[in-house]
Amino acid sequence: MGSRRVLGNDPFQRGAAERTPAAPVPAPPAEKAPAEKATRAADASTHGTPRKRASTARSAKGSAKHPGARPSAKEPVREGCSAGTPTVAAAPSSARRRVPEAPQSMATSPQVKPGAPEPRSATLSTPMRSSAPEHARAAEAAPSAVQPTIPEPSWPAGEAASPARPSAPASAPGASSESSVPPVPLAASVVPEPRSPADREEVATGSRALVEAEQDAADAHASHPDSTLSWTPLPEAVLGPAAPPVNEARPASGPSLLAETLREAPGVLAEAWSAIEAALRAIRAGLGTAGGEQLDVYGRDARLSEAVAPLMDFLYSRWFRVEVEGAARVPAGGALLVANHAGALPLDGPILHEALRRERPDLPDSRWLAEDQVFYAPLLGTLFNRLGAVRASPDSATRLLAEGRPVLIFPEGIQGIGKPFRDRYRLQRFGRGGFVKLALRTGRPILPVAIMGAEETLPLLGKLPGGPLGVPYLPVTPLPLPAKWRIRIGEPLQTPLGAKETDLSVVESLVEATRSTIEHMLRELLGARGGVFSG
Amino acid sequence: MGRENGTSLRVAVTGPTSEFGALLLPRLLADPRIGQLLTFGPRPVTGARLVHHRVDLTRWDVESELEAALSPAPVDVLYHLAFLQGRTRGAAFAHELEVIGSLHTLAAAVRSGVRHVVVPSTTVVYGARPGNPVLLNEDAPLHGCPGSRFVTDRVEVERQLMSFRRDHPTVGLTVLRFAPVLGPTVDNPATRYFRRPLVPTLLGFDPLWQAVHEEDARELLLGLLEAPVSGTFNVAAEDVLPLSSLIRLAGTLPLPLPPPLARAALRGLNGAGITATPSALLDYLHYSWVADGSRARAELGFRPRFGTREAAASVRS
Repeated sequence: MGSRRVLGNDPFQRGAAERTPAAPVPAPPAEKAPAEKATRAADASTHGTPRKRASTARSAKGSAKHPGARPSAKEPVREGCSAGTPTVAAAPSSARRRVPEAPQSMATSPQVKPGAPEPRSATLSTPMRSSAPEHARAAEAAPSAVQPTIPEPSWPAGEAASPARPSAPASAPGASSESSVPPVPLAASVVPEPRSPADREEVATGSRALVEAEQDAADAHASHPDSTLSWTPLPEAVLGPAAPPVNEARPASGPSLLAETLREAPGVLAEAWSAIEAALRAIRAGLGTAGGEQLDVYGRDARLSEAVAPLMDFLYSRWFRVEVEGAARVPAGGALLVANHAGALPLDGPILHEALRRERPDLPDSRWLAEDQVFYAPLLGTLFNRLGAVRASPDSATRLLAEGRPVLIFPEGIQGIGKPFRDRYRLQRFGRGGFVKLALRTGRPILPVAIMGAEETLPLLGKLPGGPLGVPYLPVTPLPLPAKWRIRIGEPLQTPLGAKETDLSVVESLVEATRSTIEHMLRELLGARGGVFSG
Repeated sequence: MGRENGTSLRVAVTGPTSEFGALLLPRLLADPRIGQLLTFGPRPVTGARLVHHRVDLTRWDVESELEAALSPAPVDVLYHLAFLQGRTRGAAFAHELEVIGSLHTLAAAVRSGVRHVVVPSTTVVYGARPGNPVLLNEDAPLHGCPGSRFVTDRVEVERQLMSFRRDHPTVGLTVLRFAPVLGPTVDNPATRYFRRPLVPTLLGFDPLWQAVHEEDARELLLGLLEAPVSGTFNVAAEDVLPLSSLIRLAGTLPLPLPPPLARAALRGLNGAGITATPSALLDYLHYSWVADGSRARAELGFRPRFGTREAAASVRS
């Protein structure tokens, strides 16, 4: 095969898996949350926490600069909550006097105990990045929601009376330490709830921040260690009345690099956030409870595809950084795109579909053919069907080609995705040549396609018995790793004139020609690859 | 003699109280084109120009009864609607009525010179199988559902109809394979399924379904009164929807169960005698079985007024 040679630059082979940037992906939120609690309790001004403070502060300021543009327009209820709560907490007496003006539910609810709501906001801000939009929203909402309390003369006194509102960088943690008992139950009640924004954004942090945003923030902070000091008024911004003047004052003093990160962060977060939402929507569709009312006969749900677009965008352009060569070769009027099949879960179908959608918007929407084992896998098969997978069968493919659609075919089938990781990029048997017969029958061209990156994205590390689930096996694989994807679409295959699908030797030779073309293209792509993840 | 003398048709209906019978009879009674309406069934029905014959289609000698009743003047259209739609008084009785009853009816129709026979069938005869194509056309093999006697009986009726068509080319025969007929008044396994407060489904699966509204089904059956077209046709609304959407539109809630659990539970309930739903029927919640209705549109001019969506929503009322 010679694949050992081409794969010389493969970090997996050099035993460098621990360097894999994505390996720690799921870890950070889980590890950092407890670590941070400890830090907060002991000394908040040490490393770790201030950096987070800084990043949240920056985003708070960022959205304060553009009051119209919030990071996400979701959950106005929480907004009022996080804005109103601190007011009540900081000045219980004034808040009680202010009942008609303050949000009724907040002011009169039994939760209104001095101290209790404040730690809640502190706990919400505990996971590093997760707090940013929360604070941003709070800062945003502060002027409108809490405005009436500003002229109240007793306010500064109330504020002074509350123990810790110092100008030290530890201000927010200090706020939480001011009542050390409530945070625990509150945190426990907020974090595990899967729908709470804090939690969802924590997930977002886990999957995303690692690559860009966090690095940026960390770098920015490292180069400006004093930056935390300039952000100290944040808690007041979060907590209410004092926010507007502070926010106005801040942009001037912020270092330019921070300002840049700041502009970046909310966008990235919003993106990650919508990707998470899209993923949840996708899972619901896969579970078979999502409904959907605009399906074509193949089962593709146009609305679901729209809803999942943020996740697809993220995977396609940021996580896999897919590059496509030769998309212009796909002819109009239907063609068979025959590709290698890889990855423990066959993401190559949806990604190739997405590639054609992006590169060739002029063509009718393509469909990929899925083998039965995938198409009828619970959750995955259902989801894939809604996104554009069609069960591989000659009739369906003929129908698709007659509609002028590009048809994406993975002739290796389950063999391709079921091979162990050590056999990556080794093409398996190309089925029984059904795609060639189809091409000869319909007269549509075969375009060989090489897909690089799918193998390392979801390496098949093992197989568990999947009998009860109705699948041949359960793949053991990590979350999708950010391998660099390259897709090369080759020249249409030359088919002998007048060849019949019944001529088995012609079919055989065309299958072999397709296979060797794909193999050749894969070699080229792998040879030119710098690194699995860097591309 | 039917159409020759004026516009009066002689129409016969077996199973006037069945699902399709109840749907069709009021319209047949009100139809001015019909000169005489003959009905055959166990329970009496009444109406102007209606002659009811109390027959039991499962009796061995029913064929001569039918023949005697149909013979005096040739019947223009015989609607053979005597099917149980799954409400069984025992699987053996269902088999006798549907399979043997059809056998008797078809034999009597040939002998008494009936011009055209219309038989409703169902798309479940194709079976819900992993190997189904995207759209099943009328030539697709009838795999049925070997675990279900109800479906197996309907497949057997289809086989009889095919051989009838071959053996008696002079008698017109229209077989309409209806997608699940949904509507406010019909009562069949599909509507009973969608009228449950909690509709069991299979977790991780959401097959494509299609339906046909009872109004459209009725109009199509009535449209065959004059100038009926022979052939086998799938009858379905044009849109397909996932099962979960139908459930939502029908105003109930899905109860997704892991497939192995659902099958085991159903087997357990059947074994305990609480239910009589073969677990093999869960295939219809597992795999798609979407029929291609283009032939009915082209040859019968079937233009459904309602889509699958409206049909599902109409179950609610």
